[in-house]
Amino acid sequence: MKGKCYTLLFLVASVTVSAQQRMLNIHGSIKSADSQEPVIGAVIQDTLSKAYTISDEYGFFTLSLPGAHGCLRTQYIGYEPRLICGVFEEGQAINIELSTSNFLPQVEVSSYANRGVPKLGRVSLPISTLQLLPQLGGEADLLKTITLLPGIAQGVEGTTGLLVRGGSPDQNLVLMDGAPVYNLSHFGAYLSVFNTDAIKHFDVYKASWPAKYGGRLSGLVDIRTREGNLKHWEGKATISPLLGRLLVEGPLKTDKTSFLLSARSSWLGVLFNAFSGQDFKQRYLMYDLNGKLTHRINDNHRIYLSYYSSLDDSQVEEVLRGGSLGNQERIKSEEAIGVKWGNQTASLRYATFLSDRWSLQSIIYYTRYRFSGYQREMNLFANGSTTSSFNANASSNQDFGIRAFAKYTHRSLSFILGTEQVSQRFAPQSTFQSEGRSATLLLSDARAFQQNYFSDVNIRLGNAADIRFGVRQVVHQASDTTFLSLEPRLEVESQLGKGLWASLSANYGQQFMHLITGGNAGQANEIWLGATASAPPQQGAQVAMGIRWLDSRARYEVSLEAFHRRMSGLTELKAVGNSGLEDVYRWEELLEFNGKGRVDGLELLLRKQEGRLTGWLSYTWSKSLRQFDQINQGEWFPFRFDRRHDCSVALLYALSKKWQFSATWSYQTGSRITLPTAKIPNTNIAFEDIFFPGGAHINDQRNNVTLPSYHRLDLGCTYSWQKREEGPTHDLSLSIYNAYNRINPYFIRTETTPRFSRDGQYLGEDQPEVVIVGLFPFIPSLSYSRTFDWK
Amino acid sequence: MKFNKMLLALLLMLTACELTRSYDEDIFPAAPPVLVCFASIENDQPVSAYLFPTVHALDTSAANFIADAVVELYKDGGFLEELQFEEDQYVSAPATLGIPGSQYQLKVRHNDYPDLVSETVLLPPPAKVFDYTVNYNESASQYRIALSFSHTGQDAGSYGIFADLYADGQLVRDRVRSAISGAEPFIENDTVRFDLIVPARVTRFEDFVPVDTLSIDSAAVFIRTISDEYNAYRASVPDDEIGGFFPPQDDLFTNFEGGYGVLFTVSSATVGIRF
Repeated sequence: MKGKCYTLLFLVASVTVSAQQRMLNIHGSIKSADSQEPVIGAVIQDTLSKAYTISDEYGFFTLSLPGAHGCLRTQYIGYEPRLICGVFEEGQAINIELSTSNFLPQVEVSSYANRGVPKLGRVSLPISTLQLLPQLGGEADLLKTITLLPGIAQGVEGTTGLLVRGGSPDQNLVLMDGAPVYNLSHFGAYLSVFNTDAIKHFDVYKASWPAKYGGRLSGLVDIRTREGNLKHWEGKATISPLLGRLLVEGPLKTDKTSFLLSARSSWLGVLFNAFSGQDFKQRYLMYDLNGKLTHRINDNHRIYLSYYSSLDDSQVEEVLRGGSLGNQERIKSEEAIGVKWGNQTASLRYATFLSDRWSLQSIIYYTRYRFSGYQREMNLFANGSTTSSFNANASSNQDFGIRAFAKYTHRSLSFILGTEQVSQRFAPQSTFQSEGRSATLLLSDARAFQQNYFSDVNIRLGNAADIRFGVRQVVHQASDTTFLSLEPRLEVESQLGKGLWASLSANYGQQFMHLITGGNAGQANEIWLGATASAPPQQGAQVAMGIRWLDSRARYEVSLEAFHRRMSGLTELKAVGNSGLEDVYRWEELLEFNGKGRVDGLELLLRKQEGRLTGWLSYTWSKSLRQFDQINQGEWFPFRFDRRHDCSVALLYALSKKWQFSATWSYQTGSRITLPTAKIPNTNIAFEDIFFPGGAHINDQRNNVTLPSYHRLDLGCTYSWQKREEGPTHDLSLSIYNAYNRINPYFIRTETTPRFSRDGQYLGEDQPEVVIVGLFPFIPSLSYSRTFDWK
Repeated sequence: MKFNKMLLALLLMLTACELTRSYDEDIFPAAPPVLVCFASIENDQPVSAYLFPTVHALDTSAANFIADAVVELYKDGGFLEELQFEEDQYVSAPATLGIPGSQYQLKVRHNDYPDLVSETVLLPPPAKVFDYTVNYNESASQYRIALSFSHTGQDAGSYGIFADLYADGQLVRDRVRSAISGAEPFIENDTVRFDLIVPARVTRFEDFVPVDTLSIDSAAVFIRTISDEYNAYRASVPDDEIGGFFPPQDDLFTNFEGGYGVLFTVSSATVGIRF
């Protein structure tokens, strides 16, 4: 108790001492000199007092100086540092323009640059780095790239899934210009839904998010799109084997109003159509579209209107003739599979400085995710019998919300106060119909209204420590009950020595939605459920600590973080035996609720960020377990994505301004599946009218088998040229995905071959063979992009 | 044509949706084999038990019945007798019949496998038939037998109801099952009401040629009350598919310790009916 009192006194004294100096406040904005776009995450530091701040998502900053004299050094990756020295006045507005750097590209794994307090538990990458790394089909991919960073893993290849610190894919909040995006992948998960041409900046939080965001347990991916050039029109066109991209941006009114339009679409549909025949038809449509309108009322007032839409629509119809199914000779089989999903988000944002101490940010957003899928099958057999089945799933969820907060910054203290009000609707439905099983209809249309009130307080103790604590109060009104949640968070960073920082964070939160995703088909099975009395919310708490060392010239960095997470209220699909799905009418009845989770992990990051050769090495050790009373006899079992070891290496080598080479290698422990340990053999035992056919698999433990490990090497090379200075830039990129053609496990299955006599009698089956099914072999691709400029 | 081939090659290269390779190690965890026993205790019938070991998950062979085990039957806590192996199964002496109200247990020993010990199961008394009525449907040429009998009260228990049909004292059709010609049972106040429909005439065949039609004049209706354990086992059998949408059941029901299988009871009641 005595120790706590001393600590409190120390904090108060420190703030008081700071306050007693003759501080003055300045504020302003940082933007690109070329396009006038705001620069997010730039560090503004007074070289005399070492006081610093970081520009927010609107490029705004507020800084307290100990006196009127100051030298402001502003720097951000990809821009020339800028120094402004002079005499400043209280409340003075300073607008800083940064010019694009001509230096070779650098790798900056943390968005918070070399000066300033490092923020452990959050990572970012410059979009330029992301675009230079090799990618599948030559398409830069935000989500796939961030899985190369510590603590972030991907699900099984070919499935949507971002796994942050042992959490499940549904536990991540992904925001596009402040609006949540539910589904993250295009078809086959070969590509995330985010077009990097349109992205300006992103941050990934693995712990202790700002209190203005909540509603998920694991990670936050905060993506900000570009705003369009306020000076002149320009554009960029890219073609790659998979897609075409086009971006156009420019001023509708110079220095006042700008727009940006960016679209991607895949050629695969055209190719599929060209090769469809009478017995095999395949149709495919994929696109995404970003649009943004920005109006700058003046340097202190801005309005943004953002729109995003993505769609995947795939249908396959196939007719098979001959062959067998089970022990029957088949004449013909007709199968049709269709799956369609898409996101739509729209947001209207307003940001302003009310004074040199107060700023206001507000957003109205709408997001909708829709998914539908069906599978239809009909078989005609030689004996004249037929079988048929039909399955259909659909899911729709919508959020309509308002978030607003005021931010106060003065001297060493800053805080925000705000609210978020969200209306949500979840409407999953499903139909199963097949021979021998009754049709089952699963419906659950739930609405909810969520009120959130939040506050974050940041206290800076000189340049040696930062303390941030916040709280988010949530009142979630579900259709049949109301949940209350008080979600505190704390973050402390302190300098231990020259270049050495230590960090400690803790947070607690609740998640008022569940995702049902099962089987192997990844995105084809994404059904969202809102929390209800029978499907209570998930809860999670995390404690993390770490150290970070940066050499004096900020060329090398080493960081080490450890975390411990506890979760409750988790869900898992129920096990279903031969009795099937009869009498199930609601999705909630398919889930086991009230599961617990426990994750421990250690993350290491080594990076080099200057010179011709840059890059990083990341390693994560983690152990992620789950426990449900009704599963695995109540014992703890490994999470499906319990990646015990996850290692990645990313290297970029700039041979010259024209030639860039890159390579990434990643390794992950294989995902977990449940396989039987034995079998009750086939029998023909009958006690009068009671039969025991045998053949039952014995599954001792959930997720008892680790699939073979996942590893892959990708190589890339980019050649850039300009025919004349100030002329268009041309980029030709070669990417080799999976360079040593590793067939990584997507899932495994057993293949059996039935045997028939010459007269068609079923003779039994050979011993089944275990087959590893993988996606994406060695895939080289060449993409070309060209910029356009109408100055 | 050449262009088409090039496009196809490109397409396959980029979108090969499924690549497979054989898994060359034994990915399936192989638990040591244990004994499986399916055994029935039925009133007025000898005790019967099948015994065989579990096999590897991918084994498709039929059960290999074990003949050299020691299978002991216990009744009401005391040793009753050792079952003898006959034609794939262990059976009790002909005089050892299941007695309603008694509790039974099986213990199995074999040198190559862990011992198998069942839970104790109670053989309940057979259903008590309260009443039955018979109606003749002339147009359909069928008898409808409306039965009401006592319900055991077991939630997961089930009934097997069927009839043997006689003409002039000769059995002409056996095991006419409820599933074929019955209605759903209706349970109320511990009483089960059930309609069993049987044909009024059956055709007699010789060498697949109909030779005459016999009128049914009597029937023996069997009401078999099957204990919970059988349904619990059937419901817990996982789907055959590996890697399906739903995770597989990981708690295969058994009331044996040291292995798998089911010891269940059947209480059978018979009603003689004359049309």
